[in-house]
Amino acid sequence: MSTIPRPRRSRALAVGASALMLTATLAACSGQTSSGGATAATALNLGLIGSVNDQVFPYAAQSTAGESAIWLNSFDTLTAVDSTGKLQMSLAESFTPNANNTVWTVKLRPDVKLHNGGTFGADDVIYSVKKMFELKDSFGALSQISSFVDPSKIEKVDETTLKFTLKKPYGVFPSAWSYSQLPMIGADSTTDDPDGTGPFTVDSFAPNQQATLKKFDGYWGDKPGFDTLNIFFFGDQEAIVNALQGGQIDLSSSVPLANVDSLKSAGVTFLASDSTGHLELAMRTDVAPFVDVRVRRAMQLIIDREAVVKTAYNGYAKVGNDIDPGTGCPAPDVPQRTQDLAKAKQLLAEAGQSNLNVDLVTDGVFPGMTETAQLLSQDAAQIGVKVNVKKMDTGSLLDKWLKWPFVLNIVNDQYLNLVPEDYLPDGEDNAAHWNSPTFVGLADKLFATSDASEQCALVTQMQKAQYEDSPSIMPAYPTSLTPYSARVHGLHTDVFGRSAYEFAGVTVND
Amino acid sequence: MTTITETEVLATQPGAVMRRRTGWVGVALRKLIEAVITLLLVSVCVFFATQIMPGNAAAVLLGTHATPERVAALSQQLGLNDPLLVQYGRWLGGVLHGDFGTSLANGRPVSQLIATPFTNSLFLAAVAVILTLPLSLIAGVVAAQFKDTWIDKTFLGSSMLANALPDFIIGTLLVFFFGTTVFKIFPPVSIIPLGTHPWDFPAKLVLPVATLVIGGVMYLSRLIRVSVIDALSSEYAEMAHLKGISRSRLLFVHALPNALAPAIPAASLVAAFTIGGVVVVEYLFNYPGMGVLLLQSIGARDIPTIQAIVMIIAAIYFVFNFIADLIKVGRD
Repeated sequence: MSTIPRPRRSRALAVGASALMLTATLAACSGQTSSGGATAATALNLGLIGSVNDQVFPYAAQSTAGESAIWLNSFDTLTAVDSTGKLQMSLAESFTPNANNTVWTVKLRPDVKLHNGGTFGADDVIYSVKKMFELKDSFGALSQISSFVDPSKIEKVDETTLKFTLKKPYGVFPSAWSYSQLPMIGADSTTDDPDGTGPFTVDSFAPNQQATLKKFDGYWGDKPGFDTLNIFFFGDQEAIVNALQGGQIDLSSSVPLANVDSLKSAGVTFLASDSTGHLELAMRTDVAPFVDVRVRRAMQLIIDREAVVKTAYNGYAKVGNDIDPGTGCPAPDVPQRTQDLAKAKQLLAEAGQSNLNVDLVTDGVFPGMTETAQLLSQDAAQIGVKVNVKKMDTGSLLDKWLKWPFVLNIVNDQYLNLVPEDYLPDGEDNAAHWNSPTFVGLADKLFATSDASEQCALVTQMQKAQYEDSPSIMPAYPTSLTPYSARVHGLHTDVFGRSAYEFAGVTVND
Repeated sequence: MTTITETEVLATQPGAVMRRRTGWVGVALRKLIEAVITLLLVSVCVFFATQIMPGNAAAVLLGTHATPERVAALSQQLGLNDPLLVQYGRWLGGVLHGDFGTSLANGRPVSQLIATPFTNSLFLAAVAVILTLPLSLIAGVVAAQFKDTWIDKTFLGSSMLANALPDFIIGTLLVFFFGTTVFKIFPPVSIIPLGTHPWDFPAKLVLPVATLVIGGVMYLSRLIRVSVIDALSSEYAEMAHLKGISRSRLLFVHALPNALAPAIPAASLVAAFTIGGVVVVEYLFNYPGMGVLLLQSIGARDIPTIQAIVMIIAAIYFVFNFIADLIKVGRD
């Protein structure tokens, strides 16, 4: 917009002058402020992309940005990963396994208050887990626990102690409960009025318009330093950028990277966090042409990762190496992949795919998606490979989810939760249909042990197996940029991109 | 000097008043029947168009968790596995009983879901139309009065430019100049907090209303300009001028009423276009109306909500066309 030449400005002013004068007269009659309507001194106005599907009840089919903000602030999970990616106890105080990790005793934090005034306890956990399984047809996140949790085998030992008897040994049981879509709700919850334990209570909510959350004084953890959280939902990112520039919102989770500089000029500050969230270009390993590892490897060598960092992410990223960052364990000792067109051409020739012609599908809804796809297409053209970028709406993409041979996917979770969904054969997000016996064998060992050091060693080996078998391209690890106004203080960096959703200790100026 | 037409001669004959009334009623009845048929066809087209779109509401709801088993189960719950005619018949039967059905996206009654957005959209469009009509009149008359001067030429150039630009571009330029970058005078986004109304925040209406008004005024005022110029150069106007009637009296008492006759049906059409235009403008300014809801519902494949909104827009569009037709009949 800043490139619009000045002569056009004068014409546009002439065109709009009369209408503006009249409507401005109307405006002058009003004493209302131009803010998001939050007149309280301690209200924070957060702007996020909304959806008509959004709901307050947490056991939903999937999680949107708006829902994540509401759920993270209204509910708690048994365990949680902190801003650096480390597992912490949350509603649970301890997890104790038996010898073979098939029975876990969970001790709950005492005196945790529910929003309705009751005390959170074992009955609430049993109710929550049974509710999750009851909604199995529509609750997507159930796949995180359904393979090992049997809802009929949860025993209440006392008010704050439970015993889970599992379907199979599961050594990373505590970690599974940190998944953000597996929060606990009170046993008196209804679909319209779920009872939580989080730092805020939901005061009002209208999908795709606004949610108003009020600080819960009885919260057990670190409290926010303001009273009201207004979440305003937007139809697109451009409107969020305008609202930030106009001072109508104080904070958002992200903005298009092309707008970062203009927003900085307008006084908006950005909190930069290293992030585990990144794109993956998943290649279906069970169908031609990507069934041949040489073709997959060739695609990994075609893409210019430096160019992706500079162009798709405006420099706000690090070069990727086809494995997930931020596992909390040592990265495998593997070389950094770089563009090598000659080697890629040779691999394709050996695979009989010199004239490879493939479609790459994306809905382009996350930053860098479309640009990364186009960069790969341009790089591939240099050696006669055609990568046809097919951009479509999300509904169309989901219509054939897990069927696309080559698709851009977003990955953002802690590694232990990521593996079952994204990399194991039955994973619902395993867009590459990857089924590596080596990886599966290591994963079986990982999920069977509760020894942290053994888990870490296995994670490193699993990442090496993933690097070598090349099911997907991970060209860059973007930096998470959280835009916020000068009113907001005390935001935290977060490796899972939650800086705009977590408000412990965060304060807001008048 | 006035020529008496055949119509005017017939109008003086006995029974002409009755025939005129019959004509009005006949036109109104015919138009109403056309409206019902048109709305029915619109509903059929929208329903089957949504069926052609890839992905159903269940798949969109489930996202990347959309396993075939889950999609099948949720589709069953939402009634999406029923034959299309059964689904359409169920929807139509509900509408005939005043029930727009239940949203597939969030399970709320559609009538409840669209109530506030409908009011908001109607208010936005009404303000825009109320401003468009007098502004068009003023701009058209001034341009006609100053025909061929720099004022007229500026008006013609500006209106041609505005007519060539889609509402989206006009709105984006207004945001750039008056909201975010050049001058920070008006809120660039129309955030209307829950429990309040758009009319509580006039400042937030300025840019969306201006976007709608500019397009409407620049179209309608050109028509008025031409009509006024025609009226002022007619024989009766020249005669009145020769008889010494003042220029202002000639313009406002003699020329303007005649000039307005062809412009009034066009004004109805501009009002109808404004209703359609709010969809784009609401999206641009994040104004919580039916336009934003419609776009989100299309993304969510929420057929009952899409149907309800499109039917409402079509019905409003029809009403303004109906008014234009009746005015035309009355004028003739």
